[in-house]
Amino acid sequence: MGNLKPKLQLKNNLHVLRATMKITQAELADAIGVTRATVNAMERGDYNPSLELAFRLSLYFKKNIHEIFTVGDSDEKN
Amino acid sequence: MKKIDQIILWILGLGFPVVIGLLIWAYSIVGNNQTLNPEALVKQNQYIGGVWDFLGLFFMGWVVLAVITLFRLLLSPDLRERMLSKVARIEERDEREVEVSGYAAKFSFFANLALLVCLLFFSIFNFHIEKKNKSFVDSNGETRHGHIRMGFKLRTIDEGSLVIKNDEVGKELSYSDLPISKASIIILLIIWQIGTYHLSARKKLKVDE
Repeated sequence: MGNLKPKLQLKNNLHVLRATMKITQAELADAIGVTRATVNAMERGDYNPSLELAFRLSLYFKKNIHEIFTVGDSDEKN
Repeated sequence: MKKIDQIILWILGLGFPVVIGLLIWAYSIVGNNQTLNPEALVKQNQYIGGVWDFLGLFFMGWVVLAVITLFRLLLSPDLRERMLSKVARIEERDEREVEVSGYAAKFSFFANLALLVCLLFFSIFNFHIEKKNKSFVDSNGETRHGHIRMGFKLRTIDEGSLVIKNDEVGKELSYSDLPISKASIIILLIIWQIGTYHLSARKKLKVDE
């Protein structure tokens, strides 16, 4: 119940996209309407964004959602 | 309505130090001597008596507002969330924090429920060890015996907590404490917790259908 780690592991290249645009986590967070801690959690793979947030990231980076997020191996231990 | 709530909460918040100040002033006049009447002592001076009257009226208004707000807290989920999230310092700045808040609320719910069940058990369970009279020691040679009992009372033993009388002289209406037992309060809290959880879950499920 208390484990926040997502069961389906999604990989993302947010840190690469962010570095390409030369913006900080805080700037990205402000742009998409979340906290810096949430951006950090997404980049570490500790948090899967909602569909709405994924679309906001897609619109911000001008990329398709599939170009930002891919499905990794499921963590069956969770 | 939100504007009115904000004004009421503002009055309650700013008025609280004034109320405390008044209580401290009253205590400083009479100390622990309950027979002295602070009003009579203060009104020996006309100006201080005027200040006392004004603060007394303010205190009365503050208590009425507090009682109304407390009942509204029980009945209004919106006011509850706005006010108690500030008191409990719960922040939900984005979707992740909302999710975290949900997990924490569930954890807290179960932790509270466990504590309440524990408190209920110990409030209705009593245990005694008695020394037997030496001249009546039984054939087993036992000198002590123990009792375990469980019992439940709906009301408190102190009947003076809520008094309604119609005598010629004396207290007509007096309230000083909740007139129900600890066990009753705990049962009420358990029912309230589980009941409000299911009510809100059912409401949310109906909206999503």
